Amino acid sequence: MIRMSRVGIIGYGISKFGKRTDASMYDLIWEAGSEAIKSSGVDKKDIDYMVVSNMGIFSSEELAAVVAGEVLGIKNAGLHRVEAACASGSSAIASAYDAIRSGRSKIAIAVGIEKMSEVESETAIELIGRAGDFLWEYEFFGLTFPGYYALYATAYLNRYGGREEDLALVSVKNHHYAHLNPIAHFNNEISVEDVMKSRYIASPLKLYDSSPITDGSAAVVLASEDVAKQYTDTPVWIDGIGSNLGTANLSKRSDFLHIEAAREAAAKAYRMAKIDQDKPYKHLDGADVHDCFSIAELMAYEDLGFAERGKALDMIRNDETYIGGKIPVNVDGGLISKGHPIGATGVSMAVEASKQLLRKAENGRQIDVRNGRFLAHNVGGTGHYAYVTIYSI
Amino acid sequence: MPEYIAKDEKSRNPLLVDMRSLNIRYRIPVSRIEKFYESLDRGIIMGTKCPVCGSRFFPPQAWCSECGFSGDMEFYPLDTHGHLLTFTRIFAKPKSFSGFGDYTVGIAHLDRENINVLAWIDDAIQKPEVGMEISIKVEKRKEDNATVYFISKP
Ligand SMILES: [Zn+2]
Repeated sequence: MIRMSRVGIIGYGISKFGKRTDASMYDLIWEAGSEAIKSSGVDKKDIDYMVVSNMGIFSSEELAAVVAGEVLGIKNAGLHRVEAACASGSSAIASAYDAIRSGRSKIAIAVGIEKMSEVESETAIELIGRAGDFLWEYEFFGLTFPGYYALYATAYLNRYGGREEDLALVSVKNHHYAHLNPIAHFNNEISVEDVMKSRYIASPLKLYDSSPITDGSAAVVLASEDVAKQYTDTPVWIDGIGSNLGTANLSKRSDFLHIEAAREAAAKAYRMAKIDQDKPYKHLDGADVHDCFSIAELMAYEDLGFAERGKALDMIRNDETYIGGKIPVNVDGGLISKGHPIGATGVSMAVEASKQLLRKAENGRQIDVRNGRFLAHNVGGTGHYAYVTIYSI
Repeated sequence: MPEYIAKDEKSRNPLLVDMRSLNIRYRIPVSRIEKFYESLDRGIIMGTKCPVCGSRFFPPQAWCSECGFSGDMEFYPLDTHGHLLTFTRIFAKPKSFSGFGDYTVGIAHLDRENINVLAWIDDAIQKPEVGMEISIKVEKRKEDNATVYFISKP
């Protein structure tokens, strides 16, 4: 019987996230990429495949992938850029995984990068808003990204009897953990009152319900099983990847209470990793979920099977996603407070999974590692793309 | 320092301010759905129907993504009676809408079409509520003088 080689992460690196007026796209890639290569112990000459995730429209360099190759001094690797909107980073991991799994690559690097603050924030809002269905959502109606998720939030709170204060609890938790994470964009704790007092961006979502406009980069070095074991005794394995698409036009979704693409992606990832879909959280030690807005984290609990439909409200009200609860979620600060440099986010989730599973997270935000499994949930656009990736040691 | 280097207001870090500014305006082909715009101009909102499998589409499209038919789709006026599924008021506006006041966007379900329509909610609806009865109406929007459909009172 032919046993397919597993794929493991053998090195990782991440830049400080934030409004990095001190660092260009080149500098950010260097911060994350050089750290990833150094921590892996591989000679950069042995990297034979490179994939770079970047949405790209926010910054002056059009071809981020070639920038990354040059910055890191990689010369003999295959190269491409991937885009899956906000899930681009997870699609880069999936692409590197596929290259290794097929035998086409032995050692690959996935680099996620977004330099968003090169444009002023009104323009950034415009560029992200245009990522809906341009002609039927943007041209005449000027929808923004907070706007799309606010449409979910209104429907969800109405259907399940939630209040804006419930959404605020997500931001409070994620800011709490961000203040323990040195690379996070925000390092301040906030209260429900702070969230409630912040200004509306797209009602019912307020400033503190939203992820900021962030610059950042993250990178991981991946290798096939036999190669990985030459470099480390503790690779972080990829046990499952599930991905699914959603409609371009938000109005074509069946309801605005969940993200169907994420449910499908989760089911595929659980099947691949042989995780029981009934109570999947029992087999996981923690998760990073795509909380681009507070409502998105609540929908993620349900789409991933951590809570039944409509029951995410109870989960957040009862602190079940803090460390010590049913399943810790976004103890790196999440997109809301760690930041959401679009192309880097999915790769930063792989970095966080590695840190947590190797027990290298900072004091106060290290999860209990018992099952040896961590989940990353990364949604692109308004639910246009979804990736769920399961990491293990 | 050369004239194109400026200090960031907050961090005081030096930034090179790009001198090559770019203004993009797209030209989007609509010949296959020209009938939609002709009717819109007369105050009527058209969807399309597949003559083979009967699937209905809004936004209108010139092929059937359900059964694969790619001949002449039937343009027909939508029965615009329906109810509001969700809504949001946009406060932080994108650059190209910065001249507009705050606006409210909703998604309505057209009951007899089983189709959803996303549009601005007419100012006449002062307090939108999930589930309220609505219809879709064509109006000239005062902000940009554009002919647009709105979610309106029935
Ligand atoms: Zn058909």
